[in-house]
Amino acid sequence: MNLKVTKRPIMGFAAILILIFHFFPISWQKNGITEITNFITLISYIGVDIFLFTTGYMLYYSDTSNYFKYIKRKTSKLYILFVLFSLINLFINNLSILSFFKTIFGIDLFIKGGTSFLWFIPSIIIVYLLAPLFTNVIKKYNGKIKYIIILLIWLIVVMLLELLIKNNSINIFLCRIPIIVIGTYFVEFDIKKYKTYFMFLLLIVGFFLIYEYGYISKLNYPIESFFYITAIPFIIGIILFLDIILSKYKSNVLEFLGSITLELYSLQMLFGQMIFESIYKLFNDKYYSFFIVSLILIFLSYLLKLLVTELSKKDS
Amino acid sequence: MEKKKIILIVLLVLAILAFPVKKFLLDKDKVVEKESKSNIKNTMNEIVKDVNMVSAENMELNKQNFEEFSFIPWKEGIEAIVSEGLISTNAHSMVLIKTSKKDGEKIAKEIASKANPRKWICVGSETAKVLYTDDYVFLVMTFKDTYNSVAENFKKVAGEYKVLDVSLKSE
Repeated sequence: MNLKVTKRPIMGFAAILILIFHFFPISWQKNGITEITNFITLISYIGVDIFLFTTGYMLYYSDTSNYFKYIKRKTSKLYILFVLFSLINLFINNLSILSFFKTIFGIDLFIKGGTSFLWFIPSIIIVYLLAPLFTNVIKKYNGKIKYIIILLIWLIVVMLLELLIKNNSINIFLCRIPIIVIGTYFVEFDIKKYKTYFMFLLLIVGFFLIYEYGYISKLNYPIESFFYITAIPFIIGIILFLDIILSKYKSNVLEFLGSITLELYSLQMLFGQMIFESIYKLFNDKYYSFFIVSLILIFLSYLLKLLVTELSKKDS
Repeated sequence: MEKKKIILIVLLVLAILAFPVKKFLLDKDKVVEKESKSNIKNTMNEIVKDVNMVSAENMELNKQNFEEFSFIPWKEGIEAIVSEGLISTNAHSMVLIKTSKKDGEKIAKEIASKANPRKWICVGSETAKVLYTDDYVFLVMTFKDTYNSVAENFKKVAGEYKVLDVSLKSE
């Protein structure tokens, strides 16, 4: 895998998928074409998993020797933006102060899962908080068995939680842990031979799994949100495909989008729906509305990125 | 140079869209619906008439797709229609069922126990209730403001109704 080089454009691709998932119109009047667009739209949540795979991959290379320095480096900007957006959300939606604190301390993530505001940010912060421990274990022991043990521990924990706790909303995050672990696995045990064949195999098998269990009816057995696990073969197939293509051909657009993922995600969750509704009201064309809302969000994210970069420079 | 061009184009688009954004803040939504002769469609149209709601599309339900939206298997003697949000960030889904067997209560209880107001991945409906009479069952998972208006309209169409709450796991 060439992910150290292709990571940025792959993240850009993931950002497009997340935009599609949130704003591409679903056609409830079905025909041949809308079957395809609906499928793409409704499985585009895998953008998050693609992002997490690259995170897992890069964790292996992170310098985690000084825990606090590492945490500060990885989470400070992320958390400041999270608090800022939560504050804006508080005013826009007239929320209570209690709800604001529940959001910024990550309590909402455990209570509401994917419906908590910007759920991905507290989730990724948890990943970074645990990353030094995880990478120490990975680097300390040789062989593939350590990955199997980690995944077994994960399975036991989520099964126990399923049995003991009624509200398993947090599974939107917990069921993404395996893809992070697999990302790290690919650093140590990359597929060198028959990579293209393996990719096709994963795409074909993965397509049937995601169509059956992760598209319209979603698998919530043996644990809630288990469909994220059944989507893994397809996700890895897509990543291998992108890695092969983007190693050969550079994509400035994807590279650019890969540099504004955090801003794009935050802005779309805050303003995206409102902007979509406004444009749709005016033009009454759902596809055009999607196109325009995407353009606006990308542009605003770019401006925000510039602003944050400027402020960071001044700060340093 | 290319970046500057892109920025200029997007600025132009933003300028054009300043008007609809303002309009949105003053006005609220409508539902996209085609003219129809179907009874259930007309009933749904009456229920959503003049209601502030997110952009949505109506679709008549049948044996194949009924469970996808109502969470229960198809029953004989029913007509059903769904009003579903256009995009996945619109946590809006309303299923109207008309039953000829006067078993509204039974269907409503079954739906209330199985419906999932968190069926969307990144958003969840603000309210989730099942309204019912002997002849009608109405699963409403939407925004609070929308619920109040459609409940009022449902009463006009179906008469006095009873309400069941759909449990939100996080509550």
